[in-house]
Amino acid sequence: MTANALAENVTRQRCPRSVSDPVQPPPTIIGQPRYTFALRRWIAIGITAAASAALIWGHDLIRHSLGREAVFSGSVLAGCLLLLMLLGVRRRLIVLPLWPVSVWLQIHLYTGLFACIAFWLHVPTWIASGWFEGGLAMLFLSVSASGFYGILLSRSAPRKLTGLSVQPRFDRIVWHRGQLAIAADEAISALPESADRCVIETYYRRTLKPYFASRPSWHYLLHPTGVQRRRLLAELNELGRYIDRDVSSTRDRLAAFIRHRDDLDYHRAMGYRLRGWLVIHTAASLVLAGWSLVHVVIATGMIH
Amino acid sequence: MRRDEHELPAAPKNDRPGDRYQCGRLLNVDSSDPRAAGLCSCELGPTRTGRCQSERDRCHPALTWCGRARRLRIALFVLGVGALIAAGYGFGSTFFKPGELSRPHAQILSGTMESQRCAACHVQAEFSSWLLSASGPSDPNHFGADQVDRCLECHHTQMPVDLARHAHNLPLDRLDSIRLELASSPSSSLRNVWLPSPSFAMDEVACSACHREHRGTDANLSMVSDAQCQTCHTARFGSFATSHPPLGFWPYRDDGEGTRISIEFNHTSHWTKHFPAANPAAGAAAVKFDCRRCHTPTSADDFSRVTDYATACGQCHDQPLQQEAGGRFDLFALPTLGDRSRAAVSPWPQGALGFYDGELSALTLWMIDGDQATRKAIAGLAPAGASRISLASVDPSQPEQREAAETIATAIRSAIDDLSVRGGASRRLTSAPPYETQRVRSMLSGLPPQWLWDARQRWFGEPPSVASSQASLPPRRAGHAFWLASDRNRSNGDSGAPSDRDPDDSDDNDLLGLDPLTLGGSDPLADQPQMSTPSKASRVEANPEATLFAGGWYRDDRRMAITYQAFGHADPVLKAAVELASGLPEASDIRRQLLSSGPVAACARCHPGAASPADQSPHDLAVGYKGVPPRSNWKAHPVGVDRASFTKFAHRPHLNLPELADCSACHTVAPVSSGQRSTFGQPSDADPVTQVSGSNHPSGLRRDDFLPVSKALCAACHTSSAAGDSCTKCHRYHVSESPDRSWLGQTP
Amino acid sequence: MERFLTPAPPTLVRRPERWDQPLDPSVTDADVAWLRSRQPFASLDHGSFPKTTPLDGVLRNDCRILRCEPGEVLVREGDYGGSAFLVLAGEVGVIVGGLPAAYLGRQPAQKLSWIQSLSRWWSRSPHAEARSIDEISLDNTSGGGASLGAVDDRPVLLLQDYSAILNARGPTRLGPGEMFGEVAAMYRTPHAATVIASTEATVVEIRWQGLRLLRRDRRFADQLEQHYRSHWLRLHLGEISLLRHVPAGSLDRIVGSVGLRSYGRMEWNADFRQARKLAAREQIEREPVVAMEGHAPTDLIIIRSGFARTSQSYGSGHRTTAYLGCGHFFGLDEIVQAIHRQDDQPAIPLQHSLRAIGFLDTLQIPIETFATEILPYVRQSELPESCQRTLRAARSRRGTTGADRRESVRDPDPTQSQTSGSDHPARTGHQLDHTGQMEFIVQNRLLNGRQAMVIDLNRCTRCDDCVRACGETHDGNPRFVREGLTHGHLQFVQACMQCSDPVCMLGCPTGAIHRHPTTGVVQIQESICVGCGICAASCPYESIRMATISDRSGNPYRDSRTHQTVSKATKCDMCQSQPSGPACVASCPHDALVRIDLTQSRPLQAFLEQRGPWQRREP
Repeated sequence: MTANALAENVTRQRCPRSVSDPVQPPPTIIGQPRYTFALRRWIAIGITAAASAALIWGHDLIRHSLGREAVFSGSVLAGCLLLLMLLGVRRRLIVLPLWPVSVWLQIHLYTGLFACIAFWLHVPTWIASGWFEGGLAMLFLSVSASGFYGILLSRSAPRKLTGLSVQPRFDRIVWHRGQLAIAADEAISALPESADRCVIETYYRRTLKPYFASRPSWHYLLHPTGVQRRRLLAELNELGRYIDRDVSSTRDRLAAFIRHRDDLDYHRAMGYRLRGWLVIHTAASLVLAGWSLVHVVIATGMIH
Repeated sequence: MRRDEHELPAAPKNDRPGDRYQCGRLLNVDSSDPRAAGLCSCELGPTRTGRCQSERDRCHPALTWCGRARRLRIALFVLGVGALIAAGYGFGSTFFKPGELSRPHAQILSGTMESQRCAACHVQAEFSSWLLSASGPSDPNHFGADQVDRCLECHHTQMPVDLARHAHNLPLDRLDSIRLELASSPSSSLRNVWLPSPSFAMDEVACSACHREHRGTDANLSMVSDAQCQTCHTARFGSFATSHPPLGFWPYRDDGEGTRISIEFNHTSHWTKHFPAANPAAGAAAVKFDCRRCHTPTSADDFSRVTDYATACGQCHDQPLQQEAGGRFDLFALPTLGDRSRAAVSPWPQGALGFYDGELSALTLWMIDGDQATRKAIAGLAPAGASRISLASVDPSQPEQREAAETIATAIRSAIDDLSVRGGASRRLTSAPPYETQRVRSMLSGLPPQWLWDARQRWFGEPPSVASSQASLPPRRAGHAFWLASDRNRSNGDSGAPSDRDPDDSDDNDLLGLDPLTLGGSDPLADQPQMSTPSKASRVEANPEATLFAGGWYRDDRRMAITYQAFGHADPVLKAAVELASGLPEASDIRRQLLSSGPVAACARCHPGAASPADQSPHDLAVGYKGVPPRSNWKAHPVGVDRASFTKFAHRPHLNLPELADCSACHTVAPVSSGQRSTFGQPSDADPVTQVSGSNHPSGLRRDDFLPVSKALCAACHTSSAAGDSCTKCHRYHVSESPDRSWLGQTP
Repeated sequence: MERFLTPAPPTLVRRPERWDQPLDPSVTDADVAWLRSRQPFASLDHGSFPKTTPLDGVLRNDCRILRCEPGEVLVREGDYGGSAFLVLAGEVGVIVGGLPAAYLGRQPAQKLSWIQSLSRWWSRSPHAEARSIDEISLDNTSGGGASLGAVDDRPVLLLQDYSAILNARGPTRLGPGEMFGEVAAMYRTPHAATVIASTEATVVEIRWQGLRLLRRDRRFADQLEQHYRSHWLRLHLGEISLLRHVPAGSLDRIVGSVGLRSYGRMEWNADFRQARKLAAREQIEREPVVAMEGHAPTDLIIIRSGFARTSQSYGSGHRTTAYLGCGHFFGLDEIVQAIHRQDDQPAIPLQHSLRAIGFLDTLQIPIETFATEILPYVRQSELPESCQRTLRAARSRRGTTGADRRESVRDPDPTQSQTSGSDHPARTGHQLDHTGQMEFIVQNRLLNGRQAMVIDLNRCTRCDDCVRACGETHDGNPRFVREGLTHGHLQFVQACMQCSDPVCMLGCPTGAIHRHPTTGVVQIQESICVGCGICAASCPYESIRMATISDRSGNPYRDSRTHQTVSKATKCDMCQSQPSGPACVASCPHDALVRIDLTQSRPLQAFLEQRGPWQRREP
């Protein structure tokens, strides 16, 4: 039978390995950093400390030899700024096989730290004297401050969000909110005609419907708290003494919706923080770049 | 799986977070029909420009976060950069000024135009200023000059311009010599501080290396750290107390080469002997030695070195000085010659014949120093460096010694002739170096030539032989002529009041009156016999002490000498004599003779600075005083800032401390007799820094009058925490802030 | 759950029945009758088919008759197929190995240079899902001249110069009555050869369920099985590391005695879609049991393909202890113990029960065969630690009778040792530190993923840079949505996991979706994708999106015939062509996102360990 011939053929031509699975095993993890985070942190801190020590040493050296220490620290600072800006470039040019952005972020973080030290050497006081220089210093400080805030937030906020029941995408939160309102409407309208329906319905119309329809208040976005959620849940719970079982299931669903909505709002608030700081950081750093360019031009011109 | 999640439909999965717009229906929850939310039928979504692409039910696309963030970012950026540009053009240089200028500079610039302030110091700013105020460079005449030049435009008074860029404003060879001195000194062993070498060459030190501007109105421009001071130095040390080299003799005078001594005052003897209250042995009655009697505080935040002679020394020293300086001082004293020389030297006064004798005074020596023959003769008589030159040593049997004596005698006579005829214009005076001439003239100012004329005639019996130099007779000075004429009128009642004669006539008359006197014998004085042949009876017995109270020149017929009778302190002729000596080269016999002669010696003892002015540089001697004439220091140098010194010290702040109010707290008088002077302290362990600074520090205190000031004494207060121990506390960087650099010993 | 005060009301699902959906509704009785008249169906014994599944039913529901144009590609080498094919008339050619992908209309993704990728990034279109015309149309220049055609409204891939290809290769030709693709269908292996209709041919496609039923006929079954055993089983056994040193003689005996079993449906994704709605307990209950906990071990079970889980009864449910993949053993401990135990010692029953997850295909070696033919030739180092202990105990008890035989095979012949590599203890399953994660991964079939996208939510700032980056590398169109099953702080994102058992590839009419021969990345060749959406529908993880495509200026393409908008299946392609590798990973600033191999447990374990101890905590 020719099928056998085929099989023979196959046996001859194919290596036995590939009979069960023709492909080689994939790399087990892509994107796993080489070191544990703790180790990586220590290495980076060590390098940064060494670099800073070298910087301070060189700065004192030049200062003692009556050289232009400001030029030294200034050029180091300018170099740092360039290096720091590179993260933004890398984020946009993702197609190139340079290091992954996470590595660049690490470089960014510790270069930023280093830059702060260079800045402290360059501008011994907090705010440099003179309008232009003072503005420049304040720009730098605001950029670094927003940077520090950002890294702290980026490390703390995700855990808070992870704990929540839903993980919506930022641009879809409004949509979810709408669906929640619709679902709540449906839940109410699905209630059977009964005496205690109106209890929930009234409460829903009075309190919950506006809550579901409205967007979170500003002060919630600035400082999200569970106060409103707890208040609504408590009120909803109090309705329990007026309603009986079958309606109470609807009440429980409403409670679930309230929690859901609160989670959405919390996501919204945290999302604004997590993304807002970055906007300020990047914008300020762009302005900083412009100002420091002028500063460099003036400095190189004036110094003899 | 959560129940409420089951309830809610999953969000549409056409996320495009990179886009700027998203379908509006995803957001219109508050539309009339809530069910419309997110139920968009088009799968295309909005375009990049935010236009809905669906034909059927159009929506108003909404910004995604990406889009919103982008707008926000652009807005902030435009705001920031716009602010920069606006401020830059609005406020100009004041906006870009990196900090306030120090007050003095700010005051200077306050006058100039806003747009040109930067350019006043910054060369490169000229372009920008030209940009800001489209009106050409701020100051065309120093366009492109570098910053140091611009500093010097105002500061050229503080430092030599050509040395402004040199370290310490010293020429490089000077710096080298200082380095060598340091290397040789034991203190060069301390190199315990590691510091980088300077970042510039020693002759390219910009002002801004140390003086940093734009540090605020009240910023200290001359603030320099110790490390910065020492970066150029080969010998470095840490704190003043621990590792600063010992002060050596500072602030006392070191009797080393080139030390300037203004006035000799032995503190030790005064402290111990004359005002013995210091030592316990003396009774309570003894007078306390009080420094402040001489060193009175001045307004100049410091001390006068001495008060005037009268108050300081006069009380005790006037009498002895009268004795000492009251001695005589010969211009000429004719030596006596042996009979065998009578023929050779005639005419020679009879009274000066017999045996060889007579000393040659220093002034005589100077007078006859003119020609080689005389020098040879003198050298033949006395060995070089002999204390006194006398004819007594002449051996009559030896002809060459005789001839030497005769040569000298002739020289003296011709000198007398020359002087008597030409007076101040005599050959010797005109041929001598101007400085000497000056001094000698001022010495002889009180000595009229007629005296000499008379003396010549009286002693030699004939007038000076002036035939040879008849033509070159200079006109007499009016003063003399008048004096002579009036003298003569007084002597005989001749008509013709001198009052109605103007000087010219008198001159002519003198000449006329003189000529017959010299040529013919018909002089009214000539008939007096005792004049023509002096007899013992008519000889004037000179008694200067009795007659010349204020001192002055007189003729001593007995000794046949023209002599000066000096009086006490500040005698002008002696002063001139001392200065003459000080001007003469160290080696010359005449100088030594002058200084060894009694009255002059008396002056020089207390005024060593006058006899040997240290600030007359070898250079000045070399060029024969064509440069700066040497200043004899009669007066003490004022205590206080000597800009040429590396070390500075101000007494006043120290005196505010009660424990330092008494000078002796620091200046301890050495309890040793003058015999044992200069036993302690080798010059080697002197503080090099104070020594190299021209080696004339403000204080002239003899180093061996006092115990050296120990560093510990200063270090007690001068710590970093207390009075401060930074280099600049005691040391000065710009050591030649006076353009006069004669002391540097370098050719201009 | 804790949010709800009342338990969810049970969702009612209708138990699917066999032949709910016939393979081809258009099969008529006439066709069935005609088929019945042909071999081999004619010679089948009706009696052997039960009432519930008569032969006619099989022919009607599980078969369809295909009329093939010459040059039509029936089966592609390396692809997975759920059907066997029986040639009724005409002739088909079989090409084994080395047919260039271009011949099948597939452009293998070649790596772009920096410049190319940069220019591509720069010139990405402003419109969603824009394609240039040559991206979605076949270019015949690439050789083979593959073209999309339709035979009886059945989209097919036709080769123009098939004859040249066939002649060049001098392939085996199959005539009427011969079958191909059955091995791939029954044992879930990729096709070993490409089959092209060399003449006008008529072929019966029998889907694997039908094939199973047909095997009730003894002769037919024996024929198939004989064929399989004699030609394929040897190969499979040869791959098993435990049997490396077994001499040829005993290998034959093993081949004779080994049992071949399959469990679960091959299109498991269909019933998984329903099963996942149930509670976890019920899901386990529904999984077919291979071996029951507590029973005496009868044979050693080797997983040949598919997945299984070992579980222990715990409370009123079952607790998963490990999950098994291809080449794993079950019951090794118990069997070794049973063989080497003392006579007075009782045999240990199976400690775990083995359940098939979705589809499972096993080799089962009877315990006696194992004792006599295999165990003596197994190196101790190749056994798991527990077995080694048992063996050492046994050897210490009675002298080294077995030892010398083991010594005799200490040195295997070099060829084998080369293929087999060094000794690894036989793998008996993957475990994770905490059960919850394992239960989750198994229950959601995530263990299928070879490069699953996992996000550590404790570090993810939800910045969506990964999605943006994905879009920028794919002409502005993200290939995934940052959403997916979440367990604790791990989110298993709905991006294609490049499954080791890619169900999406079953039933692609043109073979547009295929696996890269070496990297194993499942990729879609848009030029031959007809937009039928079968793959998107069959992907149990919803990782394939059908996208309506438009031209560069944003106008949607329309089909020339139907004037409907044209849509293509889109999915993650692991940025194969990009020099940067997967952009999602490269773009994550916080090391939150990784592509990870979930078919094994070790990578996930390592990943969690690197996150630091607090990350591993059960949420």
